[in-house]
Amino acid sequence: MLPFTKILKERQVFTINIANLFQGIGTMFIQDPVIVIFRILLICLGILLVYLGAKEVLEPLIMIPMGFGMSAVNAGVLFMTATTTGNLFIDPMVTDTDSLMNILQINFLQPIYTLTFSNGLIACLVFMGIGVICDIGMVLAHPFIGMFIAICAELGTIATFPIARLLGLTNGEAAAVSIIGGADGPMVLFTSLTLAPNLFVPITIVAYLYLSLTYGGYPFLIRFLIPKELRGKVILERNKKPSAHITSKEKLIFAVFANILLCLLFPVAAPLFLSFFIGIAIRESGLDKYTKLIEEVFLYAATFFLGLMLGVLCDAKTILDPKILTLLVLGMLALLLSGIGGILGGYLVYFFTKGNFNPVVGIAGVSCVPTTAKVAQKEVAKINKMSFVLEYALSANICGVITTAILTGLYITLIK
Amino acid sequence: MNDAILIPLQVFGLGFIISMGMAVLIKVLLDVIKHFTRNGEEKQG
Repeated sequence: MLPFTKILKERQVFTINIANLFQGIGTMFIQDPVIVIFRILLICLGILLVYLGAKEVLEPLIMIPMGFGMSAVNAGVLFMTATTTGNLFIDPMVTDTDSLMNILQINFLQPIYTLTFSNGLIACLVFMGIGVICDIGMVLAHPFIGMFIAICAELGTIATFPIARLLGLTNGEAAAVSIIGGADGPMVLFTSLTLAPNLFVPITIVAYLYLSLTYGGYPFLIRFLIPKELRGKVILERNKKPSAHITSKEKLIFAVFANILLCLLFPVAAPLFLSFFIGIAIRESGLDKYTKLIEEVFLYAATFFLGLMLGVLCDAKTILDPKILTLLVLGMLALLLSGIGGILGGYLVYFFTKGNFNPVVGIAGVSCVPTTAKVAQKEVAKINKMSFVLEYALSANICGVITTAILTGLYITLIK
Repeated sequence: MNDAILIPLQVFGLGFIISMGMAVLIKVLLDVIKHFTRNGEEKQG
């Protein structure tokens, strides 16, 4: 027996004082040992995420706040009553109005969770930011190639669903975890909040963890599936109107019509469509003050709070779910299948165009904007510095955002 | 047919049609804009 616990056993009075004085440690002696071990593991995982974020192995913008939140929420557990424990960060389980009004005045992150997280606002703000940084001109220059590759790169979103059902998840849970294959964080958050609110924390965390790894993982998939001679292929210009000649007016008109059409088809995902296309419209209207506001304030504030909230939602009691291992496997599978689907789409376009295409562009159909497009260009440039595929890659990338939003709308409409 | 197969098939089928429909919409919009722009230029000329 450790000397400290021996003292605690021998002197009950001393135990009570210590436990009350340092409640983060004290709660460890009254909680279920499994939860205590899980708390310690999550504190260590939080430290690891901060380290990997700082090293830029994982996406630092998300991982550093997430790691801090995760370690703090599992360290800062206190006695709420003599027998129950809790924290002063957040309580995601509160549902009745009286308790919610009470807790909103106590937990310091509860207002952000209640007013921006559980209604999907934070996902929409991130999506608005994505709209502002996307140049839709790439899509307008190569719409068929972009859309075709993007829909092929949804293979993970489609094929993971039956596997998830086979592993015992409900329709809603299976759809939420399948959307990880769309590689769009806000979309995963929106879907899981709508279809699987009980699992939205682990699903979203799994999504963001894996999305951070795409930059390191997908190059290996490209090298495995595409031979060297095809990776260096130069795409000869076939388009009469390259993206540089698409005017702002054309982009704005497309954004207006696409927004109306998609909102008409999928009212359940209308907040996402509005956020994305209004971002594009603001960029193309030349409203610099709004562009700066959305890109530099909304997008980064939403990303920061998204990371922090996901971290503090990783309370050992909340996240200790037997389905977590299933979600880890399915999330990995969804992104792997989407990568394979995208590359297969790239091959199909290569054959349709009689060899005037680089199949590496296919990986950019996985809509992790702009990471996968950069991965595609980087892998091509390693073989042939004269091959520029970034325009096609960004077209597939932005089309991927649109197709993922369409599939999100379809899943929610069909299942809810 | 089982839900586990039917739902993803419906999602893929409808998703494919709508996505390619969006591509057609882009082409049509660009052609319409080009048509009106050309007409405007001819009137000005």
